Amino acid sequence: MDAAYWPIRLLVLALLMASVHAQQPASGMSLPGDPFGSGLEHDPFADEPIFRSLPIEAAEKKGAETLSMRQPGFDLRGHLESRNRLRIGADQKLISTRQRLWLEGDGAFLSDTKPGNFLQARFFASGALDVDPAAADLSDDHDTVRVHAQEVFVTLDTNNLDVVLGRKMLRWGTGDGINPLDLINPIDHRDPIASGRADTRVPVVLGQAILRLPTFGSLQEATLEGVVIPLAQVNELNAAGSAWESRALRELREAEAQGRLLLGSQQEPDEFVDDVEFGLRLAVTFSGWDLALIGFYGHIDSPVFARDRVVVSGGDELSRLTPIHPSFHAFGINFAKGLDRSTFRGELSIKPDLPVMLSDPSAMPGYARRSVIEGVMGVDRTFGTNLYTNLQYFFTYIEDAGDLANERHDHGMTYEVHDLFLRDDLKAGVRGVISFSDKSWTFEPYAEWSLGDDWLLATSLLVFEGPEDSRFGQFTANDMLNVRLRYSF
Amino acid sequence: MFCGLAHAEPSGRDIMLKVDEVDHSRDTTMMSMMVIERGDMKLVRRMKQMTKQYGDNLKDERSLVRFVEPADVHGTSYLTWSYDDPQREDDMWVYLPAESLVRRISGGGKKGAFMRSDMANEDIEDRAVDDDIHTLIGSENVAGADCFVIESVPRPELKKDTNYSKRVQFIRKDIYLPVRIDYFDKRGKLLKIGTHGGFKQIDGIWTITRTIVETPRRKTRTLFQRSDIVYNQGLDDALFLQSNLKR
Repeated sequence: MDAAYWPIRLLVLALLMASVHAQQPASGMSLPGDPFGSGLEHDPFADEPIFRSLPIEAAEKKGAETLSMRQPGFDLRGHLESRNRLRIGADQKLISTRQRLWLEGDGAFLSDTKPGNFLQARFFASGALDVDPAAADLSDDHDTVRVHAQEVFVTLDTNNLDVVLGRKMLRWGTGDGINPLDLINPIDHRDPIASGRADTRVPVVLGQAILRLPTFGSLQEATLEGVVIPLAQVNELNAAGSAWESRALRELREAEAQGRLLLGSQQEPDEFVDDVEFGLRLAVTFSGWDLALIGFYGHIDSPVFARDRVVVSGGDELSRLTPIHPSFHAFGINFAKGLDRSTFRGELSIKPDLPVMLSDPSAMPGYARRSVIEGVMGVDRTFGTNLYTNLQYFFTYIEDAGDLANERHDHGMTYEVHDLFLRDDLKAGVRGVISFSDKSWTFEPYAEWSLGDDWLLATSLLVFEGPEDSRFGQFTANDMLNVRLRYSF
Repeated sequence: MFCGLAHAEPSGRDIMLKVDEVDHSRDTTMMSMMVIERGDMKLVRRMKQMTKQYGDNLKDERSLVRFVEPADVHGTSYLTWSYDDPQREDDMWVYLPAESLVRRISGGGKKGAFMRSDMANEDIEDRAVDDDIHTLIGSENVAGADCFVIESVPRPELKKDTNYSKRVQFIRKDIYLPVRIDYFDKRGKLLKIGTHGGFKQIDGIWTITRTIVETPRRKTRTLFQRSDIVYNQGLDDALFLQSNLKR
């Protein structure tokens, strides 16, 4: 692509050089002593050719184009990426060989940013072509070839009100790794692990409105944000054989295969309006603090299994477990505060009457509603020049947890430490999550090497440890070597 | 006696206050372009910048930087609210489009390089005059222009937040803009040299449009160019809010 531009660049350079020289005698615009001036006899840098070199001049042209970015137009970019994941345990199997072409573009229909008449209408769209034969071999979660849209939305910005319509990611949490208030986007069941301490989520179709409120005194910014998701989106259960099929789900499927129970199909929300989700967020900034109050009504992303009894052939009764996504509501608060070289972040959510599974195998309908409190509190800080550290403590408290199945009081920590090397081309560090309650953890040493502007080579070793029924220990077979090579354009 | 007063040199702080007053605009938009030269390799960054002044004396500033290039950081945006009061910490947020995340950040990374260039993050931020103690140490002709030579040493309480033990600034006597800045590391050795030029009077404001920062030890240099500069458009306050950082 670059090669194609060379003749144009040379032409532009030639024209600009000719223009510069033609203007010199009559210029009069440069000051004496300007090191980049245009030809004063006593200027030792007068002939400095640096800023007439090709990249700058070409970029000036591109810059002029970019200033019109908010005017009607379209900007397209993307990347090609080869991401490969190899199990390193006894089963040395590739669990993903994803080759991806990612494209995204944005543009503006109209733009006016003058006071009292602020108006912008914009659109954004992204999507990918994925080829992942290794993951497709494992389970029905993946097709070998998949073309999919990611985010597709339009935005209308005015002086005091912004409106967004479309398929979008929307994050309300401030924590790192664990976000009790990120309730809008479900986890991507095909590819749930982004890193040793972060999950991957999928966008949802929504309408969003952000109203800027008047400010006064030390209140510097205030917004009231509403979001409506006409049809709730939830975490899909992994297919049998998937690398990310949970141990509990695998056992249920084995029990069904042995005729000990029936496993119903996942009952995802499917009624527009009836299965709506909505939320409100009041966010303010004052005296170095970001503070937000959040309320949300929706359907739980991870299903509970509703139990009933059914008569099967021969007149026997069997338990039937059906994954369902009952409604719930949540309230919460989050904050962020910069202090010296550190940033403190925190979230606290209260989910009254949240559906949770009971341990009694005969209980009907198998789940109950309990109040659940979740919190995250953490700090990140840069030491020296580039040594970045991030620690976040999280906890979950469940009212009357004694009779619950897998849920329990939980607490733990997410962590990340990294530094930059080789003139900042290489980022290397470790990251992960530790659950103190079930003594399981992830640990991921990683390195990302930027080669020039366009190439990135990233590698990591992701290790899961803990008891086999624990949050992370259930995936010990997925200890993996990640290698990712990306070319951006 | 009057003669002596008439010819008395201004103090270093007086000169730096004049430097600070050169850009008296209410708001600015510009395109910025960086070419980082590392031997045969060239890294290119382009960004759109907007700033607006606030406060009774227009010394507080809000700035928004949106990256256009390279492609993998396209759309990444930094919003900074900086305050003239040295006791008040800046408010900073970054928008990461790949993660759909607006995130408050702190000044902990000020000493790090700006986008792998020869410039540190602290070099591009709005630095209050009284963050340093300025001493006029002489006059010198640089590139044909008469310059004040000012030694700027960080105030003791701010030393931990900077890479430099001092900066020696060569300020043009005619337009009060620096033509050269020598940066000295914590051991007092010359670390890098910034050369400024391309001086243009735009909307009545003398403006630096070209800068070269060289780091001799690393044998690298960064060319920095500002273009499409427009002052006093009357930018809307909504542009400088967190809620405008989204994609």
